[in-house]
Amino acid sequence: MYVVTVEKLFNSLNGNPIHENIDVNFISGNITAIVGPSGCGKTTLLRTIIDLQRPLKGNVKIFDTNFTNATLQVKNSIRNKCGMLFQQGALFSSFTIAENIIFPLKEILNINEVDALKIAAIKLDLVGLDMNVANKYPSELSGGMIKRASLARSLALDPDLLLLDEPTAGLDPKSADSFNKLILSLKETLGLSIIMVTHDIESLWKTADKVVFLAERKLQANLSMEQLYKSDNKYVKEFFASYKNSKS
Amino acid sequence: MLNINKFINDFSTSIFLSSKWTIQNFNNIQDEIDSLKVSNIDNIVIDCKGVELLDTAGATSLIKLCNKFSKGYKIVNLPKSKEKLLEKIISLNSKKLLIKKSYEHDSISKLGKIIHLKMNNSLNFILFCKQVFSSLIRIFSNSKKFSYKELFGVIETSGIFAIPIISLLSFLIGVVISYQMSLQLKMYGADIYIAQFSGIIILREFGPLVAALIVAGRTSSAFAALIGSMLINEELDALKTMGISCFDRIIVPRIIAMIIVLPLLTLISMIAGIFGSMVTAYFSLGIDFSHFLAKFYDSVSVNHYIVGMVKSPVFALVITLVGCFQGLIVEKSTVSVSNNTTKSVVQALFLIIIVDAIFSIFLAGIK
Repeated sequence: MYVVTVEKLFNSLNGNPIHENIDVNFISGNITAIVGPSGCGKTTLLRTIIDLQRPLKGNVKIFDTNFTNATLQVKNSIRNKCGMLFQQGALFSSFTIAENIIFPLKEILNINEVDALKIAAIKLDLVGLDMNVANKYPSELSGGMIKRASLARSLALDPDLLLLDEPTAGLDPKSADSFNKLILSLKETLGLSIIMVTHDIESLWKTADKVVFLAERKLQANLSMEQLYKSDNKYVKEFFASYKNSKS
Repeated sequence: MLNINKFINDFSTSIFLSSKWTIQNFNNIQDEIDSLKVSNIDNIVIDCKGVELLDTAGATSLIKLCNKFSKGYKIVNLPKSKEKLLEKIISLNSKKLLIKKSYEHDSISKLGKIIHLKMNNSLNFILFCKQVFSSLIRIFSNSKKFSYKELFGVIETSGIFAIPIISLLSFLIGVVISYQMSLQLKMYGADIYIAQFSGIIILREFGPLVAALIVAGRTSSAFAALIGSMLINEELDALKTMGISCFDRIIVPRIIAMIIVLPLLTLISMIAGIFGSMVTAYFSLGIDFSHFLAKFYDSVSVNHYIVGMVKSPVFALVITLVGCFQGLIVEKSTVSVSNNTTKSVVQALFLIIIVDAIFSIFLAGIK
C-alpha cells in the first residue's frame, strides 16, 4: 500500500529547525513529487528517507519495515532495493559510465563482469543512451547525459523505489520533457514507486500522481496536482502565483 | 531452492519456474540455466506460475533460458503486469546491445603514452613558469592590485603554523647527528670539536634541508590540492570570467610568501638543530652550554650560515612552483587530485635534494 511512511519527523539543518512533526505516506506504484518554496527542506526530506540525514525525532518506514533505527544489515538490504538520483549526478569521476553501472552489481552481488556488462547495456538502453557512452568518463558528457547515466546506475540493482533529486534541473525544455517521458515509461514497464523533489511545474503536471507540499516546516498538502492547483492553502497559492500569472 | 524444475510427460516437456527471478538471485539462476540439459524436443512449455517476483535481470535470464530451446517454446502463466516488462526486454535483446570494452594498449604503447605525457608536462611547466614571470612583472609594476591578504594568509598557514613541527624535528635531527658524532669524537678525545662539526653541518646542510623537506610535504601538497579542487569546482574559471588572473591572485602571492617564510623557517631550524646538538653535547660529553657556544662562535664562520640561507629561497621557489603546477594540470576526476597531490610532494622532495646537491658542489669552496 505505502512504499514509504514518514512518521512524526523533526529535522534540523545547521542548527535551524526545518521539519516539524511531518507525517506523510507515499503510495506504492505512484510517482510522488515533493515541492515547496526554496529552503523548505525538500531535499532534506528525501535525504532523511534514505538515511543520508539523521532526523532529530521521528521514524521512516520503507517497504513496511522500520528503517530509521534498524540494524545495519536491515538498512543495507532495504538500500539495495532503492535507487537514488543525485542532483549533480554523483557519478564516480574516475570510472567510465559502464564501470559506474556495473559497480553495484559487482560489489554487492558479485556478478561477473561479462554478465554485468550485459545488464548495464540494457540499463543504458532503458534510459535512452547510446552504447558508445559506456566507455566515456563523466567529464566527457553533457548535463542531460550525466542525468541519464546516473539514472541507469540507480536502476542497476532493479530497485523497487526510485528517489530523484531535482531530475530536470539544468535541462533544456526538450530534454526535460523527454526525461519526464522516460520516468513515466520506467514506472509503467518496471512498476517502480518514484519519489522526486522538483521545482519544475511542467514535470508535476505531466508525471506526478500525488504532490507533497512542504512549507514553514510543516506538511501543507498531499494531493493530486489538480487538487493542489485549486487549493486554498496560502503557501500553495503563493507558490503557484507567478506560474498562474504567466499562464493567464 | 530450485528455480527451474523439469517435468516430462508423453506429450510435452514443461519447465516450471519458481521463486524470485530477481537481480539478487541472478548468479544462482545463471548457474541453473547453464547446468540445464536440453534435448532436441519441440513443444517446450515454460510455466511461470511459481515465479514470485520478476525484474529486468530476471526477464533477461528468462530470455536466456528460452533461447536454449532452438525448436520453439511457449511461455504460460506469466502475470499480466510482467508481460510488458518481458516484451521490453525481448525488444532490447533483439537490438543486440553490447558494451565493447575500450581497447587496452600493450606495454609499448603504454610506454609511448607515458613518454608523450611527460614531454607534454615538461613543456607545460615551461609555459607555466613563463606565466608566473609575466605575473610577477605585472604585480611589481602595479602593487596596488596585489593581494596582501592572500600573502599574509599563506605566511600564517605555511610559515607560522609550521614552526612547532620544524623546531621539534630539527631539534631531534640535531640530537641524532650530534650523538653519532660524539661517539666518534670521544674515541679520539676530540670532544669539543662537536660544536664545530655539528654547527657546520647543521648550518650548511641539515638546517635548510629539514626545513625545506617538511615544508615541501606540508605546503606543496596543500597548494596542489587547493588549486586542483578549485579547478574542478570551476572556481578558477569564475576568476577568469571576472578578468582576474589566478596567477596574480593565487600563485604569485604564494611564491612571494614562501620566499619570505622559508628562510625564516630555515633560521628556526638551524637554531633548533644547534640547540639539539648542545643538549646532546651536555648529556653525552659533559660539555656545558657556555663552553659549547664559545667554541661555536670561534670555529663556525658566518659563511656557513650564508651558504645555508642562500639555498632556502631556491627551495621555496621549487616547492611553490611544483605544487601550483600539479594543481593546475589536474583532470576532472577525484583520483586525479589525489595523484597530483602525491606527485607534487614527491617531485618537490626530489628536486630539493637535487638542488641541494648542486649547491653543495658549487659552494664547497666557501668555508
